[in-house]
Amino acid sequence: MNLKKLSRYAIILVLIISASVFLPRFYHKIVDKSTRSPIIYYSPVIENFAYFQHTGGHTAFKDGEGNNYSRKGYEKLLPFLYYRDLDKWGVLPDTIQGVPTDITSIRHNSQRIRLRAYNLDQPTIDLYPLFESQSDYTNLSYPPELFRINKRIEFVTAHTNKINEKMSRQFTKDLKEKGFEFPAQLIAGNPTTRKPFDEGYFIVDNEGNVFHLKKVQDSPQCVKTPIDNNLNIRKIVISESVRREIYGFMITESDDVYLISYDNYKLIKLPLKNYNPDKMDFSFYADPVYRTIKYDDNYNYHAVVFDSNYTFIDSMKISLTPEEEKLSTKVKQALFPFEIKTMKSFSSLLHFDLKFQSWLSLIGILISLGIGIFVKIKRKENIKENWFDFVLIIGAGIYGLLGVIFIKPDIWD
Amino acid sequence: MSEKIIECNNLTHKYGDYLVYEDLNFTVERGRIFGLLGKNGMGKTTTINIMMGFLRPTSGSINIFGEESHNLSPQTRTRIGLLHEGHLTYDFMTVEKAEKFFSRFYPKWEKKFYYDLMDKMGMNYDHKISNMSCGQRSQVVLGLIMAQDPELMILDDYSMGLDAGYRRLFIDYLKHFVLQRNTTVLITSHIIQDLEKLIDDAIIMGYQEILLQMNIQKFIKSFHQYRFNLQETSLELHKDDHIANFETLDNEYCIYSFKDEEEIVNYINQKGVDINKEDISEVSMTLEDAFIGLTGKY
Amino acid sequence: MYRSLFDKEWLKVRWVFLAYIILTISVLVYIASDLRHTFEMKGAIKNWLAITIHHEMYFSSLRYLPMLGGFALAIFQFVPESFDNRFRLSFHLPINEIKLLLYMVILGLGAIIIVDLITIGGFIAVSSSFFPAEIVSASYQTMIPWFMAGLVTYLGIATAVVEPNWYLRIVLGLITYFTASLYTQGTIYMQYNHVLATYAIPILLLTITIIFPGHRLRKGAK
Repeated sequence: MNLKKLSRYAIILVLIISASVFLPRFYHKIVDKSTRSPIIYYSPVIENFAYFQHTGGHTAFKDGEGNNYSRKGYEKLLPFLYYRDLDKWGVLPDTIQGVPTDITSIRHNSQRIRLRAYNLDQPTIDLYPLFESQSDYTNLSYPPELFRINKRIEFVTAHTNKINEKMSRQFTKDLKEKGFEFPAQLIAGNPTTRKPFDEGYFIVDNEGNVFHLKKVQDSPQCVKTPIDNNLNIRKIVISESVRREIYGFMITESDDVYLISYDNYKLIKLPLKNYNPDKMDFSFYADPVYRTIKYDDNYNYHAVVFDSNYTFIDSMKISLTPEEEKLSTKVKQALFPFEIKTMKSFSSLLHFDLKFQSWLSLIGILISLGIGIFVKIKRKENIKENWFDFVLIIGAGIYGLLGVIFIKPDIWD
Repeated sequence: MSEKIIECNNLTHKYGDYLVYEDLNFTVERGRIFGLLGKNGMGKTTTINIMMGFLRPTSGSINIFGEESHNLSPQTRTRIGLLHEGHLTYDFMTVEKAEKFFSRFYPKWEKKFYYDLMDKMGMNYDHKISNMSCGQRSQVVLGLIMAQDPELMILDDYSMGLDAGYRRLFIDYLKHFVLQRNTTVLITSHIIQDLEKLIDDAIIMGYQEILLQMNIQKFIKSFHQYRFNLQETSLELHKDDHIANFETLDNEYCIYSFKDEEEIVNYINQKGVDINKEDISEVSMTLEDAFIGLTGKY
Repeated sequence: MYRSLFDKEWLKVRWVFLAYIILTISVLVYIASDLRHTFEMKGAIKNWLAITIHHEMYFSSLRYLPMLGGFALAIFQFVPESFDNRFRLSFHLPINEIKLLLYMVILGLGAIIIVDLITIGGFIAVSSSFFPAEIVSASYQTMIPWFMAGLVTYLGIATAVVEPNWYLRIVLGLITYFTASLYTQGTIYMQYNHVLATYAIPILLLTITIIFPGHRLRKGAK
């Protein structure tokens, strides 16, 4: 094949690439409908699940048995969630299951931690603020330096952009004394001032041991936790709460989820079925009575509820119509033989993933081929010289067809 | 027999369904100066474009130095100097930069030819071409082609935008140069008259055909214009081997022909019209007159 | 021969090349002054954290600059050739037209890469005085796809300008626009890092796309 032909095919390939990114995107913009994701909770009133779901225009409120509720009726099922409305209506009970339900105690005994799938592959800039954990002031404020961990822990002062040697040496020394092996595999904290207090950082060292580092009165306070160093920790999420029950949770490479309790860092393993952290959003919700874990991949919504000792109570799963069964998806599969996805809802990164559709694509390919042959005969193109055009249509369906029709072959010599 | 530089074989060209011409044939031999003449719309530009290699003919071919014109090898291109319509050149260059640019491509480059011409015009070497008049630019382009010292020059409409002085200058220089170097030239122009002193042969293009390919002196000598009046009778005229073209206005007749006076008298007599040699006057023609006589005014 | 072609390309693009460099430097100066200002007003640590936590891009004014530069260079390099059929002059030169076109493209790419290097160098110099290495390196890695968008724009627009047919020229312009926009989708730092090699594929393809319209132009396609 000569360079001139090759050049034409290069143009067509570029067209196929961008068409396979943008045409399906455009198709979605036209046909997409809201997915009606259900929001599930566990009601202490009926001791069953309660959920609501937007279904085209109106909202359905239901319980685990399938009974329907009005919005008010639904909110009454979940006093720990809607205590403000219930209080306004004057129907907030004094106690529920023996637990006092004044607004302050509900608030102090509730906690919510979220982890979205896209947080897992989010690129990080590895510099972290270490807050003063025992400040004289009630409000947290940002420290003047950020730390990094490589061969040692280094604090870089922002306004000079220089390393604070004294502090770096002091903290490195302390970490080493506690048995920390540099560098770190994982650094996890909650770098925000919008939290009641600071619990510092959980750092996994080079040998898999988990250390808990805080800054107390400008000095390091480091604890080597008893957490097993063979867990292959993938992600630690820290979230300070006045409940002081758990520091947060962690996910291992084998997709297990453990809560990290304040009780000497004891791990509580959550029995979650079919949880895939790479594709599912996760949330932990504690109210004064229950602990609810929810995770979903936008189609399957799981909720698991435990009592305060993490004894399993109940679980629920609501599945929406899978994408593959929708008519719009079938039309898409027939229309487009493949798609290049650069964005994914469960990933922070940009991709270039070639995704083939299904056997339905054969329909689109055959129609494209037919149109291609018709146009080429009508234009009196030299089919023998440009046979590869048909290979492109067979391989890339409508994209290939657009390519070979727009970028007409020339006379070669 | 001398070497054929340009060979046009069964050249046919269509734009879509519109036929420009079919089965055109002509040859240009070494050292000859050829004028390619034709009224607008007769396919002169098409032929030049094919010859310069910027258009692929529908069928047939023009061979230059034995190679197909739209597939000339780089080596063959060095032997051909082109003057493009509108004295196309790199306007953004100066006199000197243009010379430097082209000099590196041509082994036989003689910058003397170029700078002599620039000096004659009193042209500053760092004068930018885009700031020049049409006339000045035509000299720059001519100078560049001469410096290239090609074996064949194809000059498309050199007279475009030039006043009489610059046209004369251009022709004088060109003629001087090509006679000295034995260059083969194919030239077109809107202004036929200027070519009379320059070209050896002419190819005259008519509608979808070549009307004539002939030595120019022979053409002027053998092509005649006869005028006569007929008072009573009327004469029906058609183009044929005696009559190349004709015009009539009331009872005034004008015939263009390659035949001599006697043959024309006989021809008219045969048509049943009585006419004597004395009734016919031959009008002398310039090349332009002859060209218009042959191709018609319309 | 190549020396002559180099001189010719340089004559056409020198002012736009210079303007592109000046614009780049101006944007870098703007970024530096903007950093000085926000550091003074909000404090250094707030700026650092806005970057490490919220992925704020203090250099986002550079996002479309390479595309602009690539577009301008393609226009200034190829329009004077396409205008008035001036490509006929180049095509008659005793040099293979594919080589000629590719050489022109290589020179254009060279010019762009020079400005890209100036941009990266200047950018590192500017941001190193405000930020630690982690932020500086995350930043310029984030900019790499933007430079790739510049290459796509240059190559695509050059191809479109050489194409003699207006209708196809518009198709090629659209292909270029959509392809280039693949490289500027990023909203957080280093989003493309793991797929840069794949994203290089369209650029590689585009380096030879100019040959086809060049061939069409040469053979008088309409």
